[in-house]
Amino acid sequence: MNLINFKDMPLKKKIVMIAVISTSVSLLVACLFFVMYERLTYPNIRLQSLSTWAQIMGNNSTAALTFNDHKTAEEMLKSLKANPHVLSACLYDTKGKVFAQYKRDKDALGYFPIATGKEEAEYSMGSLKVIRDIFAGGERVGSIFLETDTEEMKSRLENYTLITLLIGLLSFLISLLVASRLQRYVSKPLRQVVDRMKDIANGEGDLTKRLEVSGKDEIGDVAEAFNAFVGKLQTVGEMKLDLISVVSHQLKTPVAEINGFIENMLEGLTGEINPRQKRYLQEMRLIGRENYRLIGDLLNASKIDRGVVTVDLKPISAKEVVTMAIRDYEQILEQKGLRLLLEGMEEDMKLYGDRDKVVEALRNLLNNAIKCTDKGTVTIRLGSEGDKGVIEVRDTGIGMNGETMGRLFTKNRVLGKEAHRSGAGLGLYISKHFMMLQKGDVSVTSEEGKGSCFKLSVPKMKKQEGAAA
Amino acid sequence: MKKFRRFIFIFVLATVLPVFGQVSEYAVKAAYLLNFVWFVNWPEKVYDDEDGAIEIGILGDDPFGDTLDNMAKGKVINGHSIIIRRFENFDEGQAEKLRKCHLLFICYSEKNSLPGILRILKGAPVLTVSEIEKFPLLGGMILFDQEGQRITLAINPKAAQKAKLEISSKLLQVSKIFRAE
Ligand SMILES: Nc1ncnc2c1ncn2[C@@H]1O[C@H](COP(=O)(O)OP(=O)(O)OP(=O)(O)O)[C@@H](O)[C@H]1O
Ligand SMILES: [Mg+2]
Repeated sequence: MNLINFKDMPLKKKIVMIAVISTSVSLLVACLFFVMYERLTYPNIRLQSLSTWAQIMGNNSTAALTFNDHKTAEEMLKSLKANPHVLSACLYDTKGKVFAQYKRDKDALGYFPIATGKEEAEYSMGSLKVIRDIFAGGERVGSIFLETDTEEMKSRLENYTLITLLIGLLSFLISLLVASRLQRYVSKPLRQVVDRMKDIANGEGDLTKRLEVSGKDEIGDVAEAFNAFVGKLQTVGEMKLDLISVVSHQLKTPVAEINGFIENMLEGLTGEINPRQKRYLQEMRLIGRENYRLIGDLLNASKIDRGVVTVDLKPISAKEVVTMAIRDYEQILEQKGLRLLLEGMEEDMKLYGDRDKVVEALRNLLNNAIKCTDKGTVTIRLGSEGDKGVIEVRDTGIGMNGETMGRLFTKNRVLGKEAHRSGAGLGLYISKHFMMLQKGDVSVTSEEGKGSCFKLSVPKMKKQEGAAA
Repeated sequence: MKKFRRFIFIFVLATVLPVFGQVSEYAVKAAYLLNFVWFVNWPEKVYDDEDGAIEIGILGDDPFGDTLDNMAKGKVINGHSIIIRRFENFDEGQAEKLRKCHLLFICYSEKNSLPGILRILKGAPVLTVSEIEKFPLLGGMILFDQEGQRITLAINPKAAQKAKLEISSKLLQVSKIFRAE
């Protein structure tokens, strides 16, 4: 396991890994101690039982020893055959001379320790050996020596090792299971916080929503801190919108007044103007109108963001909407040498919507169309599609590619690349919202280099709505 | 040369050892006699008091000399000291004293009076030991027998049982057993 890998591992896996590793290590240490303890104590236990056994055997051979009966003694030792672990056994008389003996393997070297009249027990060279004195009537009548192999110990140790491994494996699996269940309590709330942070950073999250603080731990602290942060962000956003709306509102009236004065001067209310003055005034009028539109857009956008836009739904005439929208654009069309075509104006189609907002949307479309077209025509067509009335603005301008079209109406709005064609990038955003508010829509089809076609759709007026009006 | 020397050595050993064995025969028997006490249980009431002495009687011509006395001197078995009593050739007048012994060694000299001895001992908790051939068959309890150099034992457990004596199975294990009456 690489350290770098561990660093990049998701928290989920880290928690599981830490839990599993710590359980396994502690278990392993415990098992190791267990096995070591066993290794240290078991030989002594075996030696003790061996010496008890030697005592019993010795006790049984007291008569044989006292009455010098080698045959009986040997026979008794032979009974040890029943236990294949006994390697050898030996009885000594009081003087330490071998009295009777037994060897499991006939050809094994007959090594018997000299009975010194001292009791001994030892574990060495793969065998357990004991020497015990034999007493009869309070008098030592001889000694007995017993030797067993350590197979039993070995197989016991093997079993212990196997069991230890099994327990280790089992506990590893269990801890994996438990940890991967429990890690959720840590990683899930954290994941929520992180997801929410990413959303906010991408500008997608709703700033009015708050994270649920699930506990008083560090993650809870993070969630709480983040909530506070989002709260701040929200107030900052609101302040920004307030500022925009106040500023644009304050600007709107003076700009409108300046426009009015320019209009008056052009109409000759201030006396005769020479052709040069007229050209300048006309230029001022265009700039003034554009400014007014921009300020209006800013105001509208801030209203949309604050969610305070309301619609005033009434039966409206589609023809009237078109007439109102094109009024301010005749001059610039003429200047740019573009032809404006109107189609479907014969029939007076009635719509049901907010007139000012439809006009505003249509103005924005017209503005864009004129901005993005250098020669050819701009066509406005009225028509109907099912229960919707449609106002189409088609131009023969620069058009746009699919990627641009996909982003047009979103908050990541398209900002034009060419300086003279781009504005604040608010027009379509506002239009979309205005249309949606009155159950209408804005859609676009376009081909790069050939032209675009924007389409407003507004619900048509139904019979009863007409009657009510 | 070396081989020859070793042969000489073995030869000398072979002639000396049996002699040495002969000499110690009664020493071994004396030791056995004392050891029987350890492998036989007398009924409680036989002892005068809790650590009363165990009485070993020798009836007839004593073959032990003073070996037995030397061995018994200071010996304590199961908390009982040991007293050796010697009896002249058997006559019925000794009955009372003989019945009071725990263990009675009947010497070879008493071979002919054996039936009489056993009769007066009848019912008494006295372990009878002798060298007289077929002793167990005649109603005695333990016989010192010989098997080559080795002194062996032959026991009549029924006789011991009748006298309310318990002979340890360990002792029976190392002895020849007579079951016939
Ligand atoms: N008819 C069209 N032909 C080609 N491109 C267009 C057309 N209409 C809009 N666009 C592209 O879409 C972008 C966004 O238009 P939008 O009206 O939202 O903003 P804008 O015109 O740049 O600024 P604003 O309308 O606020 O002054 C434009 O900058 C332009 O690049
Ligand atoms: Mg625009």
